[in-house]
Amino acid sequence: MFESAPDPAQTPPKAPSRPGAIPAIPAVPVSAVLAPEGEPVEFLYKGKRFHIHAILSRWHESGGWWNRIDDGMRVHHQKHLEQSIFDDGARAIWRVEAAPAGALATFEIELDEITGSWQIRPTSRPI
Amino acid sequence: MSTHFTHLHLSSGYSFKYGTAQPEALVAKAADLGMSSLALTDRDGMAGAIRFAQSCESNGITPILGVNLSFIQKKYRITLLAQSGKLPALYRLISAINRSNNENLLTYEILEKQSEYALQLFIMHGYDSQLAQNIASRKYDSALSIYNSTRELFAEQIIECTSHLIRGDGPLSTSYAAKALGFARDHNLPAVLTNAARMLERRDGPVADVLDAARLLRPLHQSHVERRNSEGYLKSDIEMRLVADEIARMAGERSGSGLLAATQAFAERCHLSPRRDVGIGGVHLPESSVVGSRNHTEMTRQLRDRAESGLLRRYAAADSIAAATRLEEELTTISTLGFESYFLTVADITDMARARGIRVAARGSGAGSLVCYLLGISGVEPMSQGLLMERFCSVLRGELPDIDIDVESARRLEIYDAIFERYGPERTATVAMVGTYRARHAIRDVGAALGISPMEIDLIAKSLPHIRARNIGKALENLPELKHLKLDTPIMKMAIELAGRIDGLPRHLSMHPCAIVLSDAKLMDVAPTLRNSSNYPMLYFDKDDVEAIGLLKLDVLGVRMQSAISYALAEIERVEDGAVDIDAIPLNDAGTFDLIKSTRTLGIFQVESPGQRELVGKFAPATFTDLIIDISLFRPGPMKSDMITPFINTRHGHRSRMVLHPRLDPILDETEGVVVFHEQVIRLISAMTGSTLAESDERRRQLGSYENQQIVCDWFYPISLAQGFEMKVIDKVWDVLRAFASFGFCKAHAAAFALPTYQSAWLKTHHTAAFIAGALTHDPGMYPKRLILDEARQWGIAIAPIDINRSDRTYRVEKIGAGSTYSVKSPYLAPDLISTGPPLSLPDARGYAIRMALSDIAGISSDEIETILRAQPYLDLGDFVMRSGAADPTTQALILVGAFDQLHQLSAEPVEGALNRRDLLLHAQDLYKLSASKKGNLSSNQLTLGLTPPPLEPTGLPALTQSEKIRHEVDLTGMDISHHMLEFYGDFLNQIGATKSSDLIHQRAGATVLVAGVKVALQTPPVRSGRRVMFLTLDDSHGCNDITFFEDVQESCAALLYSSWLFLIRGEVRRTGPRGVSIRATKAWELSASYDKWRNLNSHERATSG
Repeated sequence: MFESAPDPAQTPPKAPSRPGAIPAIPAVPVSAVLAPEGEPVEFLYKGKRFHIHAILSRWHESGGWWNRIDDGMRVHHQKHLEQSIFDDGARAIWRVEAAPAGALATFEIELDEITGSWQIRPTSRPI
Repeated sequence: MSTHFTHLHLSSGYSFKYGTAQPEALVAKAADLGMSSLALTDRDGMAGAIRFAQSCESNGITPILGVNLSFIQKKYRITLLAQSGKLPALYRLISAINRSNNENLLTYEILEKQSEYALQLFIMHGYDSQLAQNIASRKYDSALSIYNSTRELFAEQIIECTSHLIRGDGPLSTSYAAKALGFARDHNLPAVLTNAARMLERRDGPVADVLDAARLLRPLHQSHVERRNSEGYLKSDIEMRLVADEIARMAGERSGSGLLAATQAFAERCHLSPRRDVGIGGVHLPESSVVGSRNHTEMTRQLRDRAESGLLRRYAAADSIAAATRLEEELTTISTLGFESYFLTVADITDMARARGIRVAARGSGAGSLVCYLLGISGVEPMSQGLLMERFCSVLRGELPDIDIDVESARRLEIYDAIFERYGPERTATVAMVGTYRARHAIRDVGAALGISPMEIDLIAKSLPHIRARNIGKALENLPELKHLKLDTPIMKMAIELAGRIDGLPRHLSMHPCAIVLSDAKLMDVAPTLRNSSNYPMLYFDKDDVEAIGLLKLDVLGVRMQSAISYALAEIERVEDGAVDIDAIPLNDAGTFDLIKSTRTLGIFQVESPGQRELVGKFAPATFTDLIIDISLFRPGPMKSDMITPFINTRHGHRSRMVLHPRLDPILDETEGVVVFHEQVIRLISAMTGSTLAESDERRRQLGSYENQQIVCDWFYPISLAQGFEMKVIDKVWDVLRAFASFGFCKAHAAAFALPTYQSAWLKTHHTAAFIAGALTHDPGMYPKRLILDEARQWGIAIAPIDINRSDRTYRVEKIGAGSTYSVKSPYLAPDLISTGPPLSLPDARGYAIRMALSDIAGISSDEIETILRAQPYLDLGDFVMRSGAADPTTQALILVGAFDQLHQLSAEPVEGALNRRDLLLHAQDLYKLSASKKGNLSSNQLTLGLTPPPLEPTGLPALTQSEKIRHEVDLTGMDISHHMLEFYGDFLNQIGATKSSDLIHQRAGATVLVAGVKVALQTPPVRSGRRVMFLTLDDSHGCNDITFFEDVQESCAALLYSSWLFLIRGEVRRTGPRGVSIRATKAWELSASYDKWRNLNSHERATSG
């Protein structure tokens, strides 16, 4: 199954000051295919299907939400206050070896845990 | 394979300012996740243990208990877990740590001393331990030597493998967890998987961050928050299995199954039974030996003997048969429940108090028990008042009876000391109270964390009423004076949102103000203790926890009124010919009830508030039972549901009484057919259904909750029909029961309160000066001293100024006789009080004076008072400076308030060329200079020639004016002693036609009036509708004005009402009863500002006309 990348026309531009992101290089949204456990197996990049050969490491990051309050940080209000979700920048990162065909490259692909959108971390994008 | 994962390292909100979730929520989630057991290992304490275990029991989860503590060094932490059956060892070790330091620091020294307990416990080295630090930095040898250094001290040591999947290879990374697992495998040490969770869900991250900032008192910043991601939450089985696999694979194992199995096997060795181990549902009563009996039989006989001798003493022959029957019933109940030692212990404590001359009175439902009355625990005769033992304690009740006693506030700790001395810390301890985040604290901590300016936060926090933090948003919309704050900025919105999220989380533990546990000698095995700031041992458990594990407690409440009564009695004995036995006065004194009806109840227990003055004005209570009814009616429930109007209307004959059924009529006779008391509900149910009183009380309790009402209804109808009642009657009674069951009040409790109410009213009626002296000394009520002083003046009592030879530490009563040396100026105002009701006979206290106290002087120290009093009397100011030990500023203050006027015979009016206070000040300065230079000279051993004290003589300085004198009085004592503050505005107020409070009664309803006065009280009681009403009480030297501000005027007035204290108010008169008048405000001004305007205008007019 394909987790579709959000349509750029419908998504508001992302707040520029996400920690870890370098504003000069915009993030590239990708579509990913997930294994049943939620791990990525494949993703689409530049119209090519990249197969993930190995997960080198994975980790989670979040925090720094207090720096983004004035930018109108996202709060997803729920019926019960306790269930409201603050966007505290939660994301899961997989460092993977992936290749379209032949050349293997290392990517860091990132899942935004609030919106469910995928991207390739700008810092790790192969040139 | 379907092993279940057990979280062994878990912090709840009882890890103060660390954990983000209530224990109950954690347990509920674990149950939803299908977990079979769960550990709670809060940081630095176990205050959440009982509610955790209770929750576990009701969710079918096996509890495990532990604690996370600093170990050897403050920065390193370990987790201790109790192995099955060894919970007392954990409790005792924690208690021992708290006895030795107050940082929750476990040291080698403590471990050695308490080795018998430590050897029964497991220790886990987690991500924040010293061991983990060494493993993370690959110092495996150091890690091993740390492990070995504590090897012999615990039952077993376990390595925790914890990964929060953070980046890098420090603690909480998978890389670290894998190294920890490898270390354990290499050295053949036990290892378990934990998640070191402090959150319920992933989404709670920001809450954890705010708590970190609040705990560290730092603004939010990456370096002040602990978490790097949101993985530290209560994860499911599957989620933990993924973590286990990841750790295991990185450590070179095929899967995490081995680690998971070891974790589960270890968890099983820590399983506790909520009942057998934690002690839920148990009972711990003092042993028979504690009350001086050798065995249970002897103790039962002791209780009977004491009760029976009380019966002979207190009941005349005519009543004694009924009393003896009732006594048999109560003794049977007590014996069935096995509570003999509890009653005897409490009786023992009240006896100890009385033997020390401390006033003591029972409060609460305990006053319904004849045994309590006969043992001298309670002072209210229960049978004539229709009070029921069943409301207090019955065989059917699931709860333990709870006796509360009121003692003199000033001597409360004496009773604590006596209790600890008699029963020892192995049986007694104080109880904790959990302080939780409410609106003000929540907004303060969140605001500080977000870096909002302290002034802004302070302003909001102070303006917030005492509400739940989750309601802050709503409250802010409704407080007009906050409209100017910009609360809709993103950061303020976020602050309000987050404050709502930390709402209700525990913040700290403090000592319950009055509860003491009375247990058997096992206390230390069933609860851990700590030392609180007052140095009494305190349980980690609060009053609900204590009840859950069957520890009986006694509430010892300090009541200032009891101190005031005690003081008044001592003054009467000192000044008058004979002493008064206040506990033996008849309860039907007409003068006392006349005083209450007059609404001049200032200083009287329970009935002095503006609202109560309005109620007694309408009600006009005439008997002791009326007082009980009055106290029961004046509560939010009855007030809101307007139970009061039908009652008052029937009482005054404006409405005929509702009759349910002739057989039920006697039950409601005393309250005009209206259900007021729990006891009446119990009797109604019993009369309708033929059930016992005990069962009827159970049904009454069920009526309190909406869900259970239907159950009671299904039971009530058929059984009442079977008793022969008509359907119509049953319908009517059921409506009444359903409507009033939750509003009713325990009559025993109200009766216990009515006694000091009556006693204080009696004292105010018959010994007005002594009573007011007591009220001034112990400040029992809601009003400031200057108002009480004014009250004294209005009853004709002279206010004698502070006098260096006559004043004491406290307020003394003086009789004005031939030898009196001061003029009596107090007008007698009280009889002028005109009312529309029948004439009342009111006290006249002319002929008495109250001498102001030395302790009123600002800045005077207790030691100074002591030395001044010891050297009394003084010959002159020079003598005082030499012998009193008073510091220069104190002496100056004493001179300025006129304490030397009498001694140096200064005249009250300025007389040219005569000695005055300024001369005394100058003289005192000379004297202090002299003594300072003498000291200097003495050290250099020179002669003090030429340094004789200067003579005291008039220097020609002008005397202080009257207004300067009052200003000094107010500045230095906070009171206007010689004159009322409003006297200065007399001309102004007369000219603008302001109404005196005593004349307000003549105004027709709806008339517009101007009133002025000094702020006495400003109350904003919580109103369910959220619409706030402000009640202002003003004193104008003729009495009090009660003024109401509704929403429409609050926006313009609220800030002024909070910040000023002299007011001019325009409003409309509202009549509330024969003596009840209040004002609905339409505008408020600051009095002195209006006065200045008026004066300027006047002088301008004079200038233009002249």
